[in-house]
Amino acid sequence: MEMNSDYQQSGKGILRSNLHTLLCIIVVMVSIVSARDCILTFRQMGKDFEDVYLGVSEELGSDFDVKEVAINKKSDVSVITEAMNAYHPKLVILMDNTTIALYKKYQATLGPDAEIIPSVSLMGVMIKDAIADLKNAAGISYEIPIVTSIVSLRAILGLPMKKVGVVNREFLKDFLSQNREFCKREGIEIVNESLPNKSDSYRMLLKKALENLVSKNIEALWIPNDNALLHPELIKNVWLPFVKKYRIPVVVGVEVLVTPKINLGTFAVLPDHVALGTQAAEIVYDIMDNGWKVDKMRVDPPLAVYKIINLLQAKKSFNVSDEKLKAVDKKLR
Amino acid sequence: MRHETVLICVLVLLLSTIPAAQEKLYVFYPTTTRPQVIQDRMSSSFDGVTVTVFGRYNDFTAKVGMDPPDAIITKPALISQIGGYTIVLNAQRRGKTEEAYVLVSINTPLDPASVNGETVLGAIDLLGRNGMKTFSEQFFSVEPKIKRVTKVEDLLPLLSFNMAAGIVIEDVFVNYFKTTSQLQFAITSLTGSKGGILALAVRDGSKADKTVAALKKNDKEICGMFEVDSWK
Repeated sequence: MEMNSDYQQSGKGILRSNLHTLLCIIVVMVSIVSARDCILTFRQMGKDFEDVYLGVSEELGSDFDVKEVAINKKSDVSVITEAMNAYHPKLVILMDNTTIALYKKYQATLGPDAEIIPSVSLMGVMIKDAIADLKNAAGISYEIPIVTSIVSLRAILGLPMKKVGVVNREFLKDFLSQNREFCKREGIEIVNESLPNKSDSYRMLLKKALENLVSKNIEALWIPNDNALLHPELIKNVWLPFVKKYRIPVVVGVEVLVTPKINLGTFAVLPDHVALGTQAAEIVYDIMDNGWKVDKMRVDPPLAVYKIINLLQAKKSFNVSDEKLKAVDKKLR
Repeated sequence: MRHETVLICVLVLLLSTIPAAQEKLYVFYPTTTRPQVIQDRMSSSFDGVTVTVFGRYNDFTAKVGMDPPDAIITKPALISQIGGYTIVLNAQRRGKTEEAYVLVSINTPLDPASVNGETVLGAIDLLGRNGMKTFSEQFFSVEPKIKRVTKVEDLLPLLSFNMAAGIVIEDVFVNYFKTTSQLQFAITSLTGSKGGILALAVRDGSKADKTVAALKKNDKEICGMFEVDSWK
């Protein structure tokens, strides 16, 4: 009986040991199967960033382990280094100029033989310049191309818009020259007045520039998102009196300027943030298909936009039809 | 006995005053009209139906998965991808229920036979990444690189900025591009499509009588929003 009992004990031990081994094998197999490549996003906090991340994670979530790390103005390069060491990502997504600058600092700490992980940058000002010295890098510009905005406005208002006026500071020169080409293909000529990057007399300069544009028979005005030219004092004393006097359709890049209360812009064209995230995810797939390499630095324009119309102004000054408004995302009354 | 009779009468009376349960309908079919506009218009005509119109494939499929509605209106290919729904009505365009696709390029026509693995083509994301790969197989012998966008209008920048050699769209949307842009579009018909234009499908084991009745009225404005002529 004792022998039998020992035998049984020994049998149970073998069974337990085998079960343990089997469990270990299953755990290892499951972890191998579920070990997916990581796509790591560094981003600031805020609704727009969350929306972009939503677009990214929804699109990539089924194929990758999508992670995010918050960056703020106090963050230093150690945040990047720690996250890179913790997640070992296949690719990083960098949202905004602060994050891109930090990532550059991180790349500078790597040795000459270190593997350069590809990156996709977005939501920054002048992304092309911002990532110029990043290796293995792609991006999406944040500025909505003028042609995108004007073609949309033209379709909604049903006006020809052959000449579009722009007052810009000098730093926008390259952006304008790129846009000039695209607009030309759509039969749109950009007529611009360039102001110095620094000046104490923007009020006088802006007023004169706008009058010059009117004398060149512009049919629409495109206002860049430039804090210096959209200073509240200039809005009150230059832009608003100009719009009131000439009734030219005005395209802006921020919602607040098309509210009927301010009544500066006719039409605002903003990035569609969730779609921007989806577009970034598409680039991630492209880079993956190319063996995680970006052959040549690539910066795409944003494809999807969010359109807001100042309904009061559009109806009163430009008699826009309800049918045309079906293509607008938001109507401000 | 009398008390019981009174109680039953009161219950019957109460039940008759409770409104019949609302049917739930989800719609996903990107057109040139904003989803909110379609939703508002359909909601005003579809009595007893709560209508939700989605603009993105991911939003639609996620919501159908989390909170399945009684009925869905979308592409038949997506209905079969989702599963668990049976088509009860099909949309007709020019007397046909089959979709017709074209390849739109700039200046010169793009020969479908010349499309290869490196050719970038734009398309509206109707079926997700994998579904769109299958979708492209019906037109091209070699799978092109499909660049997916959310809205019909998002396809225009792909052509304007030379990001794609062409775009694949239903022929009914060609007019939007011709009236919106001054680019010189070249249109090439694509053969091989086997899919339906749009369909109403009811969840297996569920009923959507109000939705079916409302759609069968063939309201001109609602049909127009889907670029179809009628539902049968």
